[in-house]
Amino acid sequence: MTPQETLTRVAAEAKDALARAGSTADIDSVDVEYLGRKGQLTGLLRLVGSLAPEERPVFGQSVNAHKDEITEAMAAKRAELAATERIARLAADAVDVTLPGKGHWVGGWHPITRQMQAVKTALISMGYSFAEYPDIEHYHYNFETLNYPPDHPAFDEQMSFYIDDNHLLRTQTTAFQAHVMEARKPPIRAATIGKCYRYEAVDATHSHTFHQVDLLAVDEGLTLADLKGTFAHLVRILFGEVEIRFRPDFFPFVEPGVEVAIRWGDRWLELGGAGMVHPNILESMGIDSERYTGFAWGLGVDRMPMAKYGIDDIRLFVENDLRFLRQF
Amino acid sequence: MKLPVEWLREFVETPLSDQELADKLTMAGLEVEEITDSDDGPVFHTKVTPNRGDWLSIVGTAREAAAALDCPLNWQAPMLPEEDPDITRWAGVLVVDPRLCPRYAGKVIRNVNHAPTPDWMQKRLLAAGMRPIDIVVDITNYVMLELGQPLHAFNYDALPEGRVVVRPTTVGESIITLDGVERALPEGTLAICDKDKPVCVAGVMGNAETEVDQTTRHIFLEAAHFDPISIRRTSKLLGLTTEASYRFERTVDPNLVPIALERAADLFADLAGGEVVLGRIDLYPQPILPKEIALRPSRVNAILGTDHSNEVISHSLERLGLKVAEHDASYQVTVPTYRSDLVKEIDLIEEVARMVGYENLPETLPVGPGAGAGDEPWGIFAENLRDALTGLGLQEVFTHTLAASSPFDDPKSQAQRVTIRQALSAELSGLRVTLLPNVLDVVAFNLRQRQGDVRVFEVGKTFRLSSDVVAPYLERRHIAVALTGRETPRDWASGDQGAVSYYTAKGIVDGLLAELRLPKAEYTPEVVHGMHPGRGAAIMIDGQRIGYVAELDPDAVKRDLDVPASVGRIAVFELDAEALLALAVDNRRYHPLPKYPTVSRDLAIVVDKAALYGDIERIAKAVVDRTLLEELSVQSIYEGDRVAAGKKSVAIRLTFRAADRTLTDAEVDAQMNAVENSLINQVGASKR
Repeated sequence: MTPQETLTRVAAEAKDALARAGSTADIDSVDVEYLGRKGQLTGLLRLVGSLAPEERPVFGQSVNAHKDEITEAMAAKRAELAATERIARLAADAVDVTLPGKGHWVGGWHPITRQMQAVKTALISMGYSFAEYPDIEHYHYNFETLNYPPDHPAFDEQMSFYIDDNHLLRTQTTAFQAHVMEARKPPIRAATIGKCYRYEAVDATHSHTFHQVDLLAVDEGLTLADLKGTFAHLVRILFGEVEIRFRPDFFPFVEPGVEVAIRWGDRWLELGGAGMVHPNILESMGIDSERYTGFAWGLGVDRMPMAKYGIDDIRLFVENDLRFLRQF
Repeated sequence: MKLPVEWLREFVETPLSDQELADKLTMAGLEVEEITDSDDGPVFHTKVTPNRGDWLSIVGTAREAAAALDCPLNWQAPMLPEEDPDITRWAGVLVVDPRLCPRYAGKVIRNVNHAPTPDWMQKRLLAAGMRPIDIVVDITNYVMLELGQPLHAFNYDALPEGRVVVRPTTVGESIITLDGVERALPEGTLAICDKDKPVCVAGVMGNAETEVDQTTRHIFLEAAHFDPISIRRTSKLLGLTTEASYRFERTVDPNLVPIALERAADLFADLAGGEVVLGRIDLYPQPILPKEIALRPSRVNAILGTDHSNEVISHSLERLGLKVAEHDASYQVTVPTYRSDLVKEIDLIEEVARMVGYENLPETLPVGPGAGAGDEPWGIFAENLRDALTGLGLQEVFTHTLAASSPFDDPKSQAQRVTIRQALSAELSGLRVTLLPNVLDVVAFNLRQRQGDVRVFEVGKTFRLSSDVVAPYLERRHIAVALTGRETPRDWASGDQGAVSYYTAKGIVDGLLAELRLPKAEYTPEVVHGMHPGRGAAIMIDGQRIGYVAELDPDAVKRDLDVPASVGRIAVFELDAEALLALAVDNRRYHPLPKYPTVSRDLAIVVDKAALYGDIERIAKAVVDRTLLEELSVQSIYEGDRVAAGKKSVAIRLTFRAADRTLTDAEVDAQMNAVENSLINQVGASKR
């Protein structure tokens, strides 16, 4: 056989072997067998010596042309097989993605503290600074500084837990007002949030302990309209676009006094008391009530999540049933 | 107060429906809480604010409605019959202290016939919530409901010579009130007395002896104005509140006294055949006059944020029966005696706002300083705490600060417990000294609900007595955590991973401290009340005890917690949150990332079973070059056949790294030898 004939035969065999390859491993064998350093096709170059000098370049080029052709075909076939094999490999590694994931304990805030935090965040964004004050309050701060006349029926609304002659559990976070005004002069933008206590029989809507957010603003030129706008703004942040109601009410520490409510479903949800800080209080704090005016409110926090989530029994908040708490 | 609507409409004519009228009153400040039905038709239930005693009557409410509706009131103070000396033949009154009783009036009605109370009056009384009793009592109640002035009818024949003395009681006086109870009267109680003894607690309740009954022929009828504070004190001291005292406490118009008296006398004549003795006693040495209050219209708008005209302002006040006289830029407003709540300019400003309607106020936002607004450090820290603990898979709970004493309270702390005076129940007897007892109640409650995996925390105040006279009560915020059930949630892949233990709780403490970027804690064995004596430790940071971590004493769980018998271990910790806040100073500095590799070496030693790992770690750390030691960790603890009885094997791993070079074996060997020798010498370790 002439070298040229041998070349033709070997090249044909190589192509045949390539065509028969069923895996990338088969391709690798074909590669070694024909194109490797000791491969059959590569080996044909050694036959160059047996050729006439003028035939040598032509034969060499011919061998290389076959090599290139086979290399290209091999790459294409390899890619094809690799893709098939990859699909098979990963298919074998597939899982049932509908099975549950591995367990993690998931915690959460209590609905009341979560609500308190939401109120805080909203009021801070509106320019009010927060601080906490004692739960055990002096009578002086809980009542006297709040313009309660001695022996007034207004006390009947606030049956108190007394600890000694002078101290009680605060009946309203409004007790913070004099603390603030003792420490600071106007302009004042202050707020507090916390527990309050009144002797009440516990039922679905009453508890001896409840939570209040109190706000106090004292400045030049503050008006009842400002109070209304401020309340409306807070309500929008917390509840979205709901109707608000301002209605006259009486609290010794404000004049004019307001009961604030929001429209919730088909009824008015009373959120608390508000009004313009009574001039008697400003004067007793050494603040000129002609130059400065103030507004204040004390809103019930517990009612907010009750309304929002349709919770019908306030006792659920302190029962702390995990099946209840995990709903929020 | 319950007001039959038809009675109310007698004094105010309006085409509004009952609901519309109720809404109008509500928006004027007199809330109509509900409208119910009665034999006398619909009834308003009003919620009268404590400043508005004048709303405790039909006419007073009608007056408010007329003002709110801006329509006339169909009631006018009647012309009173002339004074007549005839009355002095029948009765005499002496008021000892006119400050407590500024006005006292009386009339005598003879030969009342005790006819049945007319049906219409009975219906009105019932609808208003009062039980018809007898024509005499019914008439006094009826007039009180109509006008707001309490009246008291005495059996004239039980008052010797018709003489009464209004005076404070002296020591040791008592009375049997008409509810049959004998009451000792504190000295100074204002009483209506005959010549010897009290026959009526002024403004509150009369006695049995002078009570009117079916046999009474003649009556002495009293109408008076008492000092509201005096009545309130008496009512509180005696624990006795009546329709009369309720009204007197809230101030009754002193000018109603003769009006109500004559109105009742007329009814006695009309309905009970009474012969009204001419004239009346009316002791009123210092008449209470209408108040004059100055009002600046400009101030009205400055407070309300409105631009009402002077006409709107003055008309608003006139609707309420106030008289407005203009002086320059200011008004002189005359306030009738039935509005004792109006004292200052600001009170009149509220009246204008009410009449114009709060619903018509504009909504504005105040301009001005909000810069620098924020939360105090505790508030921010508490938020971080809650985020960290919930991130660690714990559910927050929120319990009452008022709580009964618990078996899990350390008896040593009970002397410091803050207690409530005259507590009505154990649950309301005092304030919690620590958080854990409440949190354990939550655990027990959930276990009883068959919630087996409970991982909860609370952040809140605890309370203690202090020895400081100025600040006798200490409030301190704590964190408490309680865990029971499985270590990790059961899932199909992993199966059960075991139950929580001391180490679970301790891991959460460390995780919490790391999350809050607080220094690492050290743990020293400690026996805590209610806790397992071998599974509890004090948590120390920088030498300061910030709390403890422990498992509950299993016997205490069985004895003191109401839990199912299947309960497993309960692991807990309680920390002083304020101590943590004080430690949470962020002084972190950046450390360049390491350039050179680490070298790790393991060391296994055998020590007494009782030896503490903490000691091994401390001793090892004391002897190595700390600039080279990157980490020291425990790899495993082994107790069993392969070590001697009473011993355990502890495998630790030390990881070294130098900042400026690759460490040589020789350098690391030297460190390891030092550690090994130290452990052999100091804890009697032997190498495995």
